[in-house]
Amino acid sequence: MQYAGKDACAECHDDKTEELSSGMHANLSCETCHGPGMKHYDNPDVTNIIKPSERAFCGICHSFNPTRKDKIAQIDLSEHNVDNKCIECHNPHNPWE
Amino acid sequence: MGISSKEQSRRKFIKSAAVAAGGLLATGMINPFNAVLFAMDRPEDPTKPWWGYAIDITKCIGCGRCANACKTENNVPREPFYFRTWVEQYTILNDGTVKVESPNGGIDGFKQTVAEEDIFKSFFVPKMCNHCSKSPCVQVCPVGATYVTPDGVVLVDETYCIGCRYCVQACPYGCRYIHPEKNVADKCTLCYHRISKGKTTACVEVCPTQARMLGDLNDKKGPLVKFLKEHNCLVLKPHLNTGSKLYYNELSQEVG
Repeated sequence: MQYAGKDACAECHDDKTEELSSGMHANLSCETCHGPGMKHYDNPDVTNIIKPSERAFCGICHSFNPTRKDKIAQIDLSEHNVDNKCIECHNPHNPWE
Repeated sequence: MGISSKEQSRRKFIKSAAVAAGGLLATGMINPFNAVLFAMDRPEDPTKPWWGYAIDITKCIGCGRCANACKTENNVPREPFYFRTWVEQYTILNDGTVKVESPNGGIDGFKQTVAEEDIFKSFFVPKMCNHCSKSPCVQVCPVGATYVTPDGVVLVDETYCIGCRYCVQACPYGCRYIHPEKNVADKCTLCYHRISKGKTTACVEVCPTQARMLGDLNDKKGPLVKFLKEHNCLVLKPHLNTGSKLYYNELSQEVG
């Protein structure tokens, strides 16, 4: 088993899950972005989860594609604030705070 | 003069036709057409879980996190064309052509190459094993390696499988492949190792828009049955009578 589930994350990181639950990403699982967390859950000192920060990663959901139009906030990665990482302006745990 | 032989044979024909029609009608009464929810067989034990799955096409944004998580959770080979679940992007153009794309199963995300003004309709369709209750793959397996669990999950016993590929051919949904290292058939297990411990599948866990839903079809008040009641769900290729337990909300006719 690789994915621990949100409840497992909340056992230690309840501050983060609480922050997450107040924003637009409320229904996301931690492991949607942070990858599988079971190894970290079992051995937090040995294995850590990933913290993706590249623009391309946010773009997997948020780059413009007419197929998902109106379903989700979208931007054109090649035009929108090109020189900065998304997370410099948007807190991924609460993107519009 | 007696009845001509021509007339006699006509009478015979009408008689036998009436018998055949009556027979058909009687069979129809014994086994009437079922609602989509029960187009499959009934569960063996209605007091235990009987897993079904729903996908809401209106919610899917084509991020491919499900396909990615599935490969991670189940050690599916990373190279393309080995998938237990994947996402397809359907684009129906104004001129009527249908374009279906699934680059790396959607794991690296999708790009829409058709200009927006040329699109009539476009949507994502996640695909995976339909966990059919009358599944063709189980029927063709010559060694009984593929079977259905009492809780309605189609599995492969890799110690029995001889890698003959019959099931890969038989699955009308293209949901099986031969594992390149093990040389046995491999497919979605509905994360059996997870659901039997009370967790949900990896694909459902990571889906950011709750487009995927695992549920118990025996739980008449459960979220899956509620979803099926409230939405007009269809199964893929219903004419094949596979008894699919994978239900799609807003499934378009173009999806094969």
